[in-house]
Amino acid sequence: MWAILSGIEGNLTAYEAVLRDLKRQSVEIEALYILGDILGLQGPVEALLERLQSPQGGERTPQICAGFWEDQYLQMQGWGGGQPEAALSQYGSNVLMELEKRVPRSCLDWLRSLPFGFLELDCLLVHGSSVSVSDELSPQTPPWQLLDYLVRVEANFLFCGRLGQCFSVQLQNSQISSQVTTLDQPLIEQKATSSPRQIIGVGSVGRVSGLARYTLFYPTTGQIRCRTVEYAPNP
Amino acid sequence: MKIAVLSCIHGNYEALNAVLLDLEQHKAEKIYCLGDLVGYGPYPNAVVEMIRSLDIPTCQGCWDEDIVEGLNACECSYPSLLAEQRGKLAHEWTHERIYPEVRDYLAQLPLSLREGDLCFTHGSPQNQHEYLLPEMNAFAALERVLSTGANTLFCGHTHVPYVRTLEAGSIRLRVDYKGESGEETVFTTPLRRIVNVGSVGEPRHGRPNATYVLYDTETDHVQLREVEYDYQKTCAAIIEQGLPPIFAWRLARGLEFAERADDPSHICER
Amino acid sequence: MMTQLKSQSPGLYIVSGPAGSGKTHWIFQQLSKQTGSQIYGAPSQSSWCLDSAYLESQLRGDLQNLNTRNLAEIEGWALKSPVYLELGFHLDLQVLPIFSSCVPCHKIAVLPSGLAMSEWHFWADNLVLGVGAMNPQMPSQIQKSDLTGEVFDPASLDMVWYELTHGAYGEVQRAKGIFNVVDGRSFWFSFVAGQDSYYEELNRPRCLESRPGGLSGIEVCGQNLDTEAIASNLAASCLNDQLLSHYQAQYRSYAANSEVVS
Ligand SMILES: [Zn+2]
Ligand SMILES: [Zn+2]
Repeated sequence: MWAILSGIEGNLTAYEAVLRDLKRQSVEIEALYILGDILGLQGPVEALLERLQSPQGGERTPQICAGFWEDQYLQMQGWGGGQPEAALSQYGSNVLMELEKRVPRSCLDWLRSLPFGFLELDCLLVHGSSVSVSDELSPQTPPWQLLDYLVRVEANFLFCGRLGQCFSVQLQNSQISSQVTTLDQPLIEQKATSSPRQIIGVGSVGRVSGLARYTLFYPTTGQIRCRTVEYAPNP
Repeated sequence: MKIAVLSCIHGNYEALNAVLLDLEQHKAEKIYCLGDLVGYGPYPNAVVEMIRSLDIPTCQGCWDEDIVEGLNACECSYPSLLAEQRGKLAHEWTHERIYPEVRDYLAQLPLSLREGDLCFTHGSPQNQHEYLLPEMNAFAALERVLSTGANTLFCGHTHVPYVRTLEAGSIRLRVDYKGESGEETVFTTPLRRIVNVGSVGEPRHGRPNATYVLYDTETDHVQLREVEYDYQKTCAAIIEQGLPPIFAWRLARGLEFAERADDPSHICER
Repeated sequence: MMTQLKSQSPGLYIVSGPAGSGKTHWIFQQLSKQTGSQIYGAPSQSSWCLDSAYLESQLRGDLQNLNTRNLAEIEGWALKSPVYLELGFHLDLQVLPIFSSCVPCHKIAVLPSGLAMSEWHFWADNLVLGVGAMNPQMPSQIQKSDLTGEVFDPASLDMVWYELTHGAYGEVQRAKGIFNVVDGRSFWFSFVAGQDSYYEELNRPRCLESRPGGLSGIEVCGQNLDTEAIASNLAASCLNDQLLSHYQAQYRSYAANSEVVS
């Protein structure tokens, strides 16, 4: 079984609550993924980074990829060749100062080393979409677009975290006919079908105080469970 | 109304003139251009001046972008070392010769153009460097058209023309959200089309002739045009102007000069 | 006059024929049938010879590569076992070295089909049907480049080879080469005008650390060859030290991972 988390956003208490919940599971956790947004506005990051890098008795070492806040922070520090425009437009002009306060500069190299995502078995695990960390996939995203994200990387499951909520969209019986005319060849007709595919929002651990959400996944059966953990937030 | 759509002229002035003559003979009333005015060929400035003097609505191609922004693609955007070396040679050659006002013109070109239910773009609506090949996964191809909201998407960049019709698309959808299992819904899409207009100046379909497309907005008919021209003149100019002679050899055979392998799903390791 | 030659008995087997007719291939067939020593020499070649490097890689057993200047040594070997001497197409058949009459000597011409009377017909006492059709014109130019230690990017090599064999650098009648590619393997490439190129992987140890030591090179015969363009395009297709070690490290880790799985 895999545990898939996203959006801790500096909320160490919430992360600890999730780890306790994982220990209560009867099935062994074979992999622990964190799909970005370790950084964020919910709390200071230093202690959290320490905790991530030193798993305790029996905990899995988390596999971490970059998220929206990691990307925006790197932009802010002059890496990534752009400006943190998305953060500014969504969270206002104070956001950079707020972030700067919570993130130690010493973690810059570590942030830069984070991968974009993971492709494991037939699963793609990313923060946003297979194209960008800031894509916010949701049940309202046009199904053709969702299918395209999966088809691009030839995956059957796409786990993402940008929306911050648990959801699942199943795409089945996808079909389409296509005809191609060229200068030299006779008309080529094709009928394409696609195997069942699924997009899963894994929830957010730290965004809502007192309520951590994450996802459990059984790769052998394809079963998905959204877990909600209540905890007492730090005063 | 009959419209003509051209792409990928690549500094080949002879080819452009032959195509302009051909579309006039076919009574095209309006012309659109999908970019790549410069790069590889010997007359980048003359081609841009011609397009501007005719007031042809034009989108920015991958080469136009690279000339303005500088080459900043990673090495893995070339499929081979040799293609990389040749591509860079052509880039430098063009970069040194292009007039400032030509550069300014290329810099302000839009990424796509809309006209009624038609959309015009160089590579794909999201990326000038993406190849919409005829064998691309049909669902992915459909997404490219749907994302524009248009019925027909005109593109270039692959240098080989084709028309692809996508129809009878359907997906069965089930959404679980906020703990509730939703109903199954079936999503269907109407007919959509991708028209790749080929290349005027650097054809890659195995013959030296220029290619472009004529489209009749009333009858919805697409015609792939192949136009002969004196390509030997361009070949001679390539050598005379100090471009790599192998470009002339490849032009005469309808082979691409230096391939690019830009792929948005590619994750660069280096 | 096509005879089935008994080529297993001791003696000198001198093999000639036009460019690309299949001389080395015929010798390869004879040597691979053989149980005893495999002895070969190429008198027309300079310091390095692609054909003998090819035979060395592809034959099971040890190939004895003769120093062809030493006639006494050749004769010594020829008294004990068959010795194959391959003559280049450009060699003047009239001025071959004279061997002692006590060594049995067979002159074999490997000729393409449809070749009318030629100097080979007069010279040879055995004719072997080779491959392809006769090219009316004898090549006027030969370009040989030693590429030992060079490692190619395969996509670039394919492109240069395509251009070379389709006339981009002059009219090529015959081209052959041994090339190392970045995944550590080495290949034999062979082209004769009018035919498709032939490719074969060589039985050499895979090189995933620094530069391979085995002979690598190219030989091109034809007319109006742009030798500078051939050389510079080949050079542009080779990896520099930095790229090479980067990719080799990747291939080494693939190799290590696939061993764990299997
Ligand atoms: Zn182009
Ligand atoms: Zn392009």
